[in-house]
Amino acid sequence: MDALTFSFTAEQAIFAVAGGICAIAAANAVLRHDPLASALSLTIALFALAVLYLSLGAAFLFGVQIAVYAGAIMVLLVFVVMLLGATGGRPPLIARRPRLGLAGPLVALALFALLAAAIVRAPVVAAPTAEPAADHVAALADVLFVKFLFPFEIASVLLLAALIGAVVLAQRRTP
Amino acid sequence: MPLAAYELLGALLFALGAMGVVLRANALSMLISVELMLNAVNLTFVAAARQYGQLDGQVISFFVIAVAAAEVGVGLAIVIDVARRHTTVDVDAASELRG
Repeated sequence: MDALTFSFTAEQAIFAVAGGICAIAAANAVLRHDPLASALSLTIALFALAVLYLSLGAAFLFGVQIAVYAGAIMVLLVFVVMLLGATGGRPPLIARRPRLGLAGPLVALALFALLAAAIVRAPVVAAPTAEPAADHVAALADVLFVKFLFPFEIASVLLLAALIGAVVLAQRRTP
Repeated sequence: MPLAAYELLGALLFALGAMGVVLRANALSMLISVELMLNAVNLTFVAAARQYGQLDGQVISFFVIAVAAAEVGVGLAIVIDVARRHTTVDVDAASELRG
C-alpha cells in the first residue's frame, strides 16, 4: 500500500461517510437522556450500518437490516417509548437520573482499549482470492438451509417462545 | 479496506453500547444500548465474512437479528409490566423478587 498516493477507492469513501455517521449517531443514542431521541438516533446508525453491509457485499443483509431492524424492531421500540411516555399526570415514567456517573465512560474506555489492542495485534488475514458468487442470495440460502439448518429451526422455536412470552407478560394485569 | 478498520468501528460501537448499559437507569435506554452492542457484533461478522470469502458470518448475522427481535419483544413486555407495577422504568425500582 503506497501511503503517498491519495486516491480513495469507493469502499474507503463509503466506510468514511457511513462509518462516521454510524459512530456519531451511536454516540448520540447513548448520550441522550430521552429514550425517544436515543431510539431515533439508533435508527440512523442502523441505516448507516446497512450501507456498510452493502459495500461489504452483503446485499441481502442490507435489505434485512432495513426491513427487520430499522423497520420492525425500531417501530416496536418507539411505540413502547411513546406508550410509556404519554401518560400525563403522574411523575414521568421515563427515568432521567444518570446512574453510576463515572463508571460508564471508564467501562467503555477499558473495553475499547482491550478490543483495539486485540485487533491491532491479530495477524493480518490475506484478502480472499475467490470472487463472490454471482447469485448472492442463492449462495446464502445454500449456507443457511444446509449448513445451518438446525440453528434455523431452533430460531423459529425461539421466536415462537418469545411471541407467546411477550403476549403473556404484557397482558398481565396488576391486582 | 482492511478488516481491522471494520473491527475497530465495531469495537467502538460495542464500547459505546456498554457505556449506555452502565450509564442509564432507564430500562428503555438500556435496551437501546444493547441493540447497539448486537449491531456492533454483526458488523464484525459481516466484515469477517467478506475477508475470509465465506458466507458463514452473514448467516450468523441473520441469527443475531432473529435473536434481537425475540429479545426486544420479551424485553419490552417486561418493561411494560415493570412500568405498570412501579409507575417507572427505572431499573433500580424493580429490585424485589416477589412475583
